[in-house]
Amino acid sequence: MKNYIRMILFLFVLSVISAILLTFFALETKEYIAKNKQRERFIHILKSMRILPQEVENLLAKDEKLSNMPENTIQEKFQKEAIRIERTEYYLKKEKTEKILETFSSCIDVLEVTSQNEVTFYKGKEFAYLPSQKIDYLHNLYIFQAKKEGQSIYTFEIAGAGFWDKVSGYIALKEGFRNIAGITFYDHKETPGLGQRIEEGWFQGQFTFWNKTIFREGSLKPELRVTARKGTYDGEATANYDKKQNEVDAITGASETSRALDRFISKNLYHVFSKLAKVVRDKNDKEFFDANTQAFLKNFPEAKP
Amino acid sequence: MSLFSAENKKVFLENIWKENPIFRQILGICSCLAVTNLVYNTLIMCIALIVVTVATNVFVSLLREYIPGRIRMITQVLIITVFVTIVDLLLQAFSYEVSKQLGAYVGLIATNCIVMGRAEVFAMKNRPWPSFLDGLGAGIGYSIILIAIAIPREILGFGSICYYPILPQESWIAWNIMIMPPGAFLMLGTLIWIVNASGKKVAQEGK
Repeated sequence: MKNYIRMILFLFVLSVISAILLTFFALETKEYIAKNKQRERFIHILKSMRILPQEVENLLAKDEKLSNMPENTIQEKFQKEAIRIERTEYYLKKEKTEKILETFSSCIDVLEVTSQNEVTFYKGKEFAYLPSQKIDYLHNLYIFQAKKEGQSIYTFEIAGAGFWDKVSGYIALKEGFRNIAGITFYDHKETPGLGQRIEEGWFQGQFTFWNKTIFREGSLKPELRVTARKGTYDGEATANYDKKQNEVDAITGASETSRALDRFISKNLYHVFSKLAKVVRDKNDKEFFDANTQAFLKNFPEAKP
Repeated sequence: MSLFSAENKKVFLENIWKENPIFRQILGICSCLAVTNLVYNTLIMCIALIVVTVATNVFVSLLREYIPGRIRMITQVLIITVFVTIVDLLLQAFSYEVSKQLGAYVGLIATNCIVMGRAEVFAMKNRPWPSFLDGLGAGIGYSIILIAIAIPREILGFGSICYYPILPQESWIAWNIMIMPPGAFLMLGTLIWIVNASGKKVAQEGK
């Protein structure tokens, strides 16, 4: 009996000490970890919109690999674009956090829509320095807006089940939510060398370089397809190429990852649009969405497909 | 007993080569298979494992007189997980990119047989200083093999070492198998084969 009590006491004391130690470390590192995660999101938001700190622009202009690439044919131009996307991410990741926050605060506005459809509007300056517990990416929808060349670009998160685990990214839309301004993936566990290639420039570049839209012609239901089709594309549709404007190339050897993107991007878009349609109808929030986007959202069907 | 007596040296050195956990005992290969496709990540993983092994060994050794025999395993696991969690938190706070790439494997150090093996076999019966050396030796032994596996894997899989390209990036076709876990099986097997074939002496001395 005495032995048992000794055992229980020993474990109890040890557990309490461990708990205190862990709590201390968790509290001490909490702010840093939150900042790291926030930084990562901001990097990808900026990347998807192509709004870059001046320093990154300078580095890109000086980049040797980029400037050595020819751009005579459309294929070469596309390859250059692909490398540019990869280098952009690389330089953004190297950039100091202050610069990222600075660019974010000066260019971007944020709209928060909670699961109860409550709407809050933030200036980039406020949002970038909000305490981390006030931002709930899991339950709320955040739309980031920026003006570029007189046009509004909107970015929001897309996430869904990939082949192995959740895939998260950001998609930026322009021209009244019709065309894609940029796409990026920041968190996934797809197979290295195969599904992992969604990180690569050529995959992300094809969404923007060929002016892909998110709708099938004549339809208002988002339908962005990631499909495997034969034939090559040289900027203009040729006889042996029948990819539509809402279709991008899948990744060879990563059928499941491609299929997963094919499935969840459209679903995500539909979800976001129907939520925003409600916001626009109820609140008539004129400041955030431009005329084009408002018109689109007002017409967006609320019923399930 | 002096700090660097012959016995202490033996404890330290044996773990590095003769009793190398991965090579001789084939322990702890889970992380060995998973994280060795990039040299830089492997280095971070090795440091994390060395810290955890050493800290666990020292603490278990300090407490060895007080740990009741029947619950010594639970106690060891508790101590190990505390250190693993601390290392994981620190990595997330100060080396976020690497922590993301290592993913679950930092947490899985807790289940690494090397850590618990050294705690149970050595630290429970020895004083803190030799336990410290034992943990350090086992950690370094583990690290050497991991790095030996990581270097060819990164060269063949990415054409680089520590992200620094050494093979021509345009013409080099990466071996995908080397990036994926099976690549580590191949490398580990090959390494063990080379070592066993070339140095039969070592293996026989071990017997």
